[in-house]
Amino acid sequence: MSIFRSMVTYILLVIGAVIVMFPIGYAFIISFLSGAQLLQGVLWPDEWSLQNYVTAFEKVPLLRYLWNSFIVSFIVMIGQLLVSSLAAYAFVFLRFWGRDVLFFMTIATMLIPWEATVIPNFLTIQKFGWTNSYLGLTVPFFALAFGIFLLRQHFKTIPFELYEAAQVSGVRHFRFFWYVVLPLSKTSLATLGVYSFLTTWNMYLWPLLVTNDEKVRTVQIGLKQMQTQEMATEWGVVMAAVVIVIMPTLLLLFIGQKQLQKGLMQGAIK
Amino acid sequence: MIELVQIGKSYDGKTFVVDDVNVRIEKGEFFVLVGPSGCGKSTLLRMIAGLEPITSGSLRINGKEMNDVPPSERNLSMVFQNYALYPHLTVEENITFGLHTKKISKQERKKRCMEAAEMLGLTDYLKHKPRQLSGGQRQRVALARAIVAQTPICLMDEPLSNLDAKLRAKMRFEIRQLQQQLGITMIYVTHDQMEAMTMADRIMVMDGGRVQQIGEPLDVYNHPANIFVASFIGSPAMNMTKADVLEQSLIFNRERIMRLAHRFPLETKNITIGVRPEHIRLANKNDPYFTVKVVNVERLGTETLITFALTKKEHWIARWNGQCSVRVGDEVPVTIDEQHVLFFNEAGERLYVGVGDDYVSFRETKF
Repeated sequence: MSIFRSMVTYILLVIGAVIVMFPIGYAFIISFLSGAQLLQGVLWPDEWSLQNYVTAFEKVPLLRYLWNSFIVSFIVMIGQLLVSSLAAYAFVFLRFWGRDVLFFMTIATMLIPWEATVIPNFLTIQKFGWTNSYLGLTVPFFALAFGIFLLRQHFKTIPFELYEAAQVSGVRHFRFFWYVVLPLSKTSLATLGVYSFLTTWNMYLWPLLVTNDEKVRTVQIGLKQMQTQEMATEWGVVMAAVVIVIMPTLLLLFIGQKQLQKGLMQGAIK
Repeated sequence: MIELVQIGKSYDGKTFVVDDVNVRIEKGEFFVLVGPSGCGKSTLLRMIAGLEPITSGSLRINGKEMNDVPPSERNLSMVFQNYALYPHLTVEENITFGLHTKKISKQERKKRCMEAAEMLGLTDYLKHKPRQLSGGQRQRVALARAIVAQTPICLMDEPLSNLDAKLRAKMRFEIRQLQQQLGITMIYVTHDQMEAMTMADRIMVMDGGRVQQIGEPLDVYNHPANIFVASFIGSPAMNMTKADVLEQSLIFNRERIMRLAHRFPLETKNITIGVRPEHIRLANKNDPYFTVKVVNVERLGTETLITFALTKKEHWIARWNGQCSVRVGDEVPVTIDEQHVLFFNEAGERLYVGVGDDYVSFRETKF
């Protein structure tokens, strides 16, 4: 490739990156501005004061919310990985009547918008008495058609002879699942794990519905609380909280990306 | 002892990919299933293993009906064509993976693994991953895995087809030796008739899902039951030619005529004759002979393969010992002993006709 072409490519990439990163960068800058400066339209802070961050933690129990979000996201991630991988295993390695029909029905549930199921789900949770609890926040998300689909596709790439060899030598399903299928699907499991963690972390509507107690409330609701508690929203404080909230997301992407790329490359060469 | 009684396999309930297989495999026997690809031999093996449900018939191992018994309870081991090694486990873990479920102590597992590794020369590679091994070594790991289970029956599905020719010859010998050492009953699937001939106690030739012939290798070689077996077993393949029957003579493509010492039944019309390449020899002084034109000569060192034109359309191959000085285009006198000529009827089945002691005599026809 000529130097000219790679230059054009890189320039385009840089422009794209700037556009995509601008809101985050701007939020980061605002988080260091005082309310007065913000109203004046200052674009660059004179001094990098952490006052907004301190206020954010004082105003709402941000740490508590962060912890809640972490717990909820983590439980949902584990739950989704477990349920999806077990279901995918059954769809790939077990022979039973109506297996494919069942699988396509599972896939078909992806066509139903999640919002359409909110009310029935809420009623169920309410009947169970799970409102204001981690159970109510996590359990409805354990079964994920997308996760089942993703893992099934990966499990299908595992040579079926491995399963047959295990069958002949008397290896039980769970042992085969745990020691062969899961280690061979690390890449997809990591992808699904990151995906479900982030989706849950960013969830807003559902936690808003099933919680009204700060003991279990998640951080996204905390952010919203900041904006409505007073007449004039202190945007500096809100943005400080936003920066704190997106931190785990960014960290996960930075750490995960390298792992994911490595995994993808290995898969390609084999 | 393994008994197959009228075993059949069908996926759609109409066409059978394996049909009416009856055989009894003795304890300690090396039994080879051989046939072209798609003949149903692998399916049959997988039915014995329990990986494929049996549609009809009954499978008995040591007198016990096994049709619905899961593979793990049939007490057998299996080696797959692509080895089916677990890529993320070390050689040692691969070998002992199946032992964990059999309630075998850790020391015993280790001991068995070491024994098998020693037997197959894998001791130095126990900590390696499969991808660090060569094809032959991977094959050995798969064998070791089958051995450590110490099952009385071992099934192998074309285990050598991914190896190069030299290694294949070596592994053939090793597998055979191992089987005799351990006294296992072996059922071995291959499409390579050479493997079947060299390894087996008995072979079963299959085609189109049906058993064509069962017997000891040389028996099958010398007395093939039909055209398929005759042409499949042996390399180079048996020479085959269609012929018209005219009283006591056979006519090939209206060019050559062959007189026989006996008569065919009157209703016989078209027959096929078969002659092994090694049975066509250079005619001596007093032999009845026919001259043929040499089309191609392949000198293999210990033997020479001579292709000649029997008729305008058909070429036959003769195999002569040593390094012959025949050249392409030469006219040579050849002869065939009648006892070595096989006859097949229109349906491809072997015709057993009284064999006289006269020589077969060919000559050019003058129509």
